[in-house]
Amino acid sequence: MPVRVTTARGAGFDSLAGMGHFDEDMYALRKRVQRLATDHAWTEDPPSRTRHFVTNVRTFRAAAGELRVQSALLLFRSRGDTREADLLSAGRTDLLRETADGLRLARREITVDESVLRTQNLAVFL
Amino acid sequence: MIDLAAIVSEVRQGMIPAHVYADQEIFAAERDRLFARSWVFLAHESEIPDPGDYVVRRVLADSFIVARDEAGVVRVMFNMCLHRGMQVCRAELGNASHFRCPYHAWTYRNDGRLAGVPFHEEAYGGEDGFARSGQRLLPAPSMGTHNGMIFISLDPDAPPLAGYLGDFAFYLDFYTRQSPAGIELRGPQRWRVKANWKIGAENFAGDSYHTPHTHASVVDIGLFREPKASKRKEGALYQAGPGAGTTYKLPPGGGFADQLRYVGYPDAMIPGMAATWSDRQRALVADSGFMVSAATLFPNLSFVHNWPQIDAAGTVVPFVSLRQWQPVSERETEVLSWFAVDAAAPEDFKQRSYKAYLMCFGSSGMFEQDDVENWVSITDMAAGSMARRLRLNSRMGLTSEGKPVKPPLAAFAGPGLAYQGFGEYGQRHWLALWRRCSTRPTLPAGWTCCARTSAT
Repeated sequence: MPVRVTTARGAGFDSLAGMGHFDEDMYALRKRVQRLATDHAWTEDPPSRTRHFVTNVRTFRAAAGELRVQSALLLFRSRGDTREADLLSAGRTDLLRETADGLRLARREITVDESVLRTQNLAVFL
Repeated sequence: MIDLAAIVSEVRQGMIPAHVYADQEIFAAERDRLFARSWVFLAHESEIPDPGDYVVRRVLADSFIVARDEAGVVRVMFNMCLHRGMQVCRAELGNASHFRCPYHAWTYRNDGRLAGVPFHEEAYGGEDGFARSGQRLLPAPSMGTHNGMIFISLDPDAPPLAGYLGDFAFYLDFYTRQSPAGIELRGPQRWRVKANWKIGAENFAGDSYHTPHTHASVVDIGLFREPKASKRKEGALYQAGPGAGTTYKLPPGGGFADQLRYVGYPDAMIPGMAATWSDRQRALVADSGFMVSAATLFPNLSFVHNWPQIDAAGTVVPFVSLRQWQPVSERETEVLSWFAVDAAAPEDFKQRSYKAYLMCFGSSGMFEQDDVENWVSITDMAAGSMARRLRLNSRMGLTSEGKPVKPPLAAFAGPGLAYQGFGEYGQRHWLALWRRCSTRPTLPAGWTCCARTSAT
C-alpha cells in the first residue's frame, strides 16, 4: 500500500518511492493478527465497527490457476460513541490462487485515494 | 480569558492544567509566540538530492517550498505569489526549474527569483513601472541545516541553529549521522489524528513508563527479544539543550562493536559509526552501556530507534524514524513519519530496516497504533469543563520538596543530565521550554514584506 502524493500532472508518478503504509510479508501479517488477538491491543479494544464496501469488481485471467481481481473499496470505521467516523477510499488489485481449499488471496496491492489519511491509524485491514 | 501566568506557575510545579491539551487560547499563544519564533524542522537534504528537486512543507498554516536550485543550493521560500497570493506550487514534491503561478502566470526560478511577468511592457510599462530584478518569493526569515536536516524559523532574528541545538546535537548524531554519508529519508507517511500536538512531543521526550502497559501487546506476540518491562526501567532518561530522550540499557560487558551487533547493526556499518562518532559518543554506548531510543527536539520533532525481530528466525534489525507533530488546531495534529537509514548502509540492511520500521511505527506501526489511541482520548477528555479543574500530575521522579528521587547518573558519557529508572524528567524539561516559549513576546509588529521592497 504505497504512500500516495500530490504531484504535477506531468510528473509521471503519484506515489512515494520506497515508502508504503503497508508492505507486508507473511510474518508481518501474522504478527498483526496475533497482536489483535492479545488482551492488550488497546487501539482496537473496544473494537472499531467497520464495513468494507467492495464494488466495481473486475476479474482477469492471470497465470494458470490464478485470477487477477480489481475492486474499489470504501472502508467505514466508527470508533467509540462520540467520535466522527472515518472513511478510507482505495482501489485494490488482488491475485487469487486456486488451492484445494478454494481460492486464496496470494497478493494484494492497495492504492489509497488520500495522501494524508484521515484515520488515527491502520489497525484495520483494507 | 485564560490566565497564562497561573498556568505557567502550575506547570513549573509539575502539575499540568488538563485543558492545555484542548484549549483554543493556548493554541493561539503557541502559534503566535512559540511556533512563530522557534526553529522548526521542514525536510532533509536527501529528500531533494538533485537540482530542481523540491518538497512542499508547512509550519502550521504557512506553506514553504524547499527546493534545491540549479546551483545545488537549498532554498526555502514562502509558497505565496507576490502578486495576488495564490499558492505557487500545489504539488507535494517533484522536480522543476521554475514555479509558475496558475493565476496570472508570474513565474519564479527554483531559487525564488522572479523570472517572468506576462505582458510586462503593456501592463506595467516595463522595468520602469515594475522592476522584476531583485524580486523573489519571500525567503524563510531564518534557515539553518544540521546533519542535512533543514530547519527554518519565522523569526528573522532567531539565534543561530547550532547554538539552539546546543548539547542535544550530541544525541542527534545517533539518529542522523551513522557514517560520513549521513542519512537518507523515505516518506513521510502522513495522517491526521484528533489529538493535541504536545502529547506526542512529550511522550517521546521521556515517557518510558508507558511502554510496559501501552505496548504490552507487542511483547505478548514476541516482537522483541527481551522482556520489555524490565528492559525499559533500566534505561537512562536524559535532557540536554532543547531536547530530551530515553535510552535502553545494553547487556553488560560488551565493547562498542559488540553492542552495535547486539542491536542488530551489520559489521559493514560499524566502522562508519566508529569513525563518525566522537570518543564521548562511542563511550555512551561502550562504557555507559546505553543506546538511544525515543527523543524529542523542541518543539515538535521526535526520533525513535528500536530493534525488533523481523522474521520467524528471530533476526533483530534496528530502525530509525523521524516524526513531526504538525499542529492543525488545538484538537488535531498531522503526523509526518519518515524512515531514516544510513545512506552508506548495505541495500539489504536498508530493506530489512524499512520492514522493522513499518511493523513498529508510522501509520500502521504496531507501537504507534496504541499510542495514538491514548492521545486522542486525552484530547477528548481535556476539552470539557471538569478538565479545567484537574491538574495532571507530572511529578514522577520528584520528592514532595521537588528534589529528584535519585541523583543524576554519574557514569553517563553524554552531556546534560541523565537519570536511571522511571521519571517524568524529560517531559518536565520539554514543558519548561514550552512554558518559556508560549509566554515570550510575539514578533515585533511592523515587519512586512512586499514585492517592491523585499529584494535581497
